[in-house]
Amino acid sequence: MKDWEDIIKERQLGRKAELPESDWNDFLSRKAEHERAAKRSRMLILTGISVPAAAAILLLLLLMPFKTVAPDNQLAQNEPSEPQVLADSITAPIENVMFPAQLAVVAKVQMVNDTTKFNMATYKLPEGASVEDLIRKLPGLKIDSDGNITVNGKSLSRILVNDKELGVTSTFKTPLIVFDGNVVEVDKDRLAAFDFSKSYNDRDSLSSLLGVRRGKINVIRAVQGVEAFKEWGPKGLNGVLEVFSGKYYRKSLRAGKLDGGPYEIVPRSKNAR
Amino acid sequence: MRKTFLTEQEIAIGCARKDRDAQGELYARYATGLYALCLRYIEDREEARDLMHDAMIKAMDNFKSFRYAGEGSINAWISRIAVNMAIDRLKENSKFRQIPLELVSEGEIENALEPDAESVREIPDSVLDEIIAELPPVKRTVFNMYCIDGFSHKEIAGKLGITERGSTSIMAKARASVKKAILSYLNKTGQ
Repeated sequence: MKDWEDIIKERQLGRKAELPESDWNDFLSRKAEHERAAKRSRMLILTGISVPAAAAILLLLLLMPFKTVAPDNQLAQNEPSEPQVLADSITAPIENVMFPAQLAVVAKVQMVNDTTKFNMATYKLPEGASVEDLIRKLPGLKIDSDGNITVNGKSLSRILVNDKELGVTSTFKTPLIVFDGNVVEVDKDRLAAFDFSKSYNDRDSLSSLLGVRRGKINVIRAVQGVEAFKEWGPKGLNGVLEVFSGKYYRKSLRAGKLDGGPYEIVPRSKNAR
Repeated sequence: MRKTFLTEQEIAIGCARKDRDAQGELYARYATGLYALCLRYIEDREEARDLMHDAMIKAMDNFKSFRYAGEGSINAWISRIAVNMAIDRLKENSKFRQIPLELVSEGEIENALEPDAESVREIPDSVLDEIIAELPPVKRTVFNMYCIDGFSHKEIAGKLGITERGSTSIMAKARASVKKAILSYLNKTGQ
């Protein structure tokens, strides 16, 4: 190269060009857009799933801690004054997440009203993946260190697999204890009136306060023994259960009894609106 | 954007871990230089800025493949990324899809005097930029790649889909044009 070319090179390489003030924000927007596009692109690659892999995903879902709860001190504030209708056609402001496990080729993510539907056939998990790995693969879903799952920042209300609620007895062989020896359904108005912010020591609290003794409470999820202990400590020794009245209303509570102590019922989650 | 005072090596390590502070520092330190580079290849300022952004994003995504080799290595690496991306964009232009034969063929080059190096140093940046910007796109690209960004003729040939001899020929013509413009400026200003 000629000398004068060296000078040009030296001067040009040292040049800086002034950027507009908004540049950093513009860059961040572009980067975010790029990341979203990359995510979409990865999802397109993840097509098809084998039957064993589908089974593995279902197993993972079964093992997923079903947490719809908010801390108790927030529950009272969030408690709706009126029971909210939880129906198949969802108009209430809730976030439902469905995991259709069938292998049919459908869109990767479908959003209908408040329901976000993921086609699990498009997500592959490595061997030994955890439930967290699965959740992290699903766009918009996050799982925090306490195991709480949120969808786009909102608490997760329901998880459905092939349109069936995860943990429902008829769908999955979730170990269940049945309160008082029965699976009963509660009258929704009485359930709405039930003060879940209090503890009840009366052995018959649940049934008396809910106005039923048997036949009206649906236990949608219940654990006992070690699992209950892990979740609730000593007070969960006898079990933890979640109940709902038909498909209209649901509350979560623990029902525990320490040796020789009173039977205790303590609410845990807010209403599933 | 929060500024930190990381060393170049710390930036490289941080960016490989996708650390936001390191990425912010990378941007703060290299964006303006990279933008100047992009403007040498792409005339449109907005398009050049988009290119700079894309090059930054690509670098941030691929820092794991970067090997730190001393001060200046990030700048060299990131500049290569930007130039390669610029070439890809330019090749979408019809002028790059079919480079005219007369441009790649050896022709008679006017044997003008060489400009004095020290006088070239005195030329204002804006004039120098204009001289380079006024080169036709293919000549300008080859001039930028060879003379400023240090690509070999073999690399240029590979990138532009021409022969090495073609690249040499284009460079000779670009050099002659730049030289002529510089001499003309120097004569005009009496330097």
